[in-house]
Amino acid sequence: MKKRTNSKIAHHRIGQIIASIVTLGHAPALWTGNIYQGPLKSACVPILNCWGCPLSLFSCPIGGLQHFLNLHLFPFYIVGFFGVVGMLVGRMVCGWLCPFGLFQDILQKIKTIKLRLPYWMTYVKYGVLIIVAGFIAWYTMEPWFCKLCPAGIIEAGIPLVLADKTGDIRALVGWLFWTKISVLVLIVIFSILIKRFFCRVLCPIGAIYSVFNRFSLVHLRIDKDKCPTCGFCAKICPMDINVYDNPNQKECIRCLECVRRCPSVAVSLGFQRPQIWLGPSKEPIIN
Amino acid sequence: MKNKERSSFDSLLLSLERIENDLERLIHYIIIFFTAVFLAGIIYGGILGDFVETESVGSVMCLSCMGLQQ
Repeated sequence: MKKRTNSKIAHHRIGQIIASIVTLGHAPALWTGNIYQGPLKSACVPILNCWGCPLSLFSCPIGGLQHFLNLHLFPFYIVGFFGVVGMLVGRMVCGWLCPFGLFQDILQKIKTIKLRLPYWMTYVKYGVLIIVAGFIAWYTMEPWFCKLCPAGIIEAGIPLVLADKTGDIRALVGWLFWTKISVLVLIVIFSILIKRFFCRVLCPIGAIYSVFNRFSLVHLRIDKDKCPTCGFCAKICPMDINVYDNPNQKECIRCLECVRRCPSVAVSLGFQRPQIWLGPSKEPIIN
Repeated sequence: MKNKERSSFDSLLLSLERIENDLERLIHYIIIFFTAVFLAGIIYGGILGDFVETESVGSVMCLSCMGLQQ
């Protein structure tokens, strides 16, 4: 019989840490301040990653999307990339790879009052995707989501300004810097109060993958016979999902915490299956 | 009579199981098809020079992305 794992560290946390080290792995930038320029930059990572920042080794798909829209070109590569990742794993990359998700998970550990996000607010990210990262980028020919994105100011803006000895970089601090700081402060406050606030409300990459979540090959399954609907999965879910109701809804990031910690071992990971199955398991009904 | 009902119920379940297996296969084919379409998008983008473009843009330090202005 399958047993619940008792390891203290969540498996997705290890993935998040490794991905953060790999994506922000251009160590020479720490002493030279120079950006990585090499073939790895032609590859996107499927997560939020400030590609214009010195530490970054790979490209950001949403930055790439905006860049092609700025040039009024159809982004075949970026759309294809989002499509392949989305069709295979859906939002799993948000749970397992995103450094900004890790940042929010750490903030969520701060003990204070916690609030629940009204469900309608999860639709705001589609507006961010279509209007800010889509239409405005296309119309103004400027990557406006990047200009407001909190990842850039954490990964580079603040460290560069703090480490500046000559004053050259401090001279570049202006209204945009303070706007980004304000956005970051708001996101930090909301992320302390609300689980994964940025991912659920603002992230355009999450918005794209969420569309694929229902169709993706990788799927969560609930064994209704085992599930006593105790609500434990909903309590531990970093996205505040009622897993027992619908485990594959658009917000699920497939961090697999519910799989790992379900006391009844009722949640499992598998491949996409149609929903007409009547039996309790995949065993044949008639022997 | 009861046996007959049971047997027809069993055959109904068996048919449902077959339909489910077929649907499962169909869903997997659809997923593979769309994955292939998107993969073709990546390759076509590569032919059009999207990789080179991405690399060249990503190799420039983006000051505004870091909140700095010139």
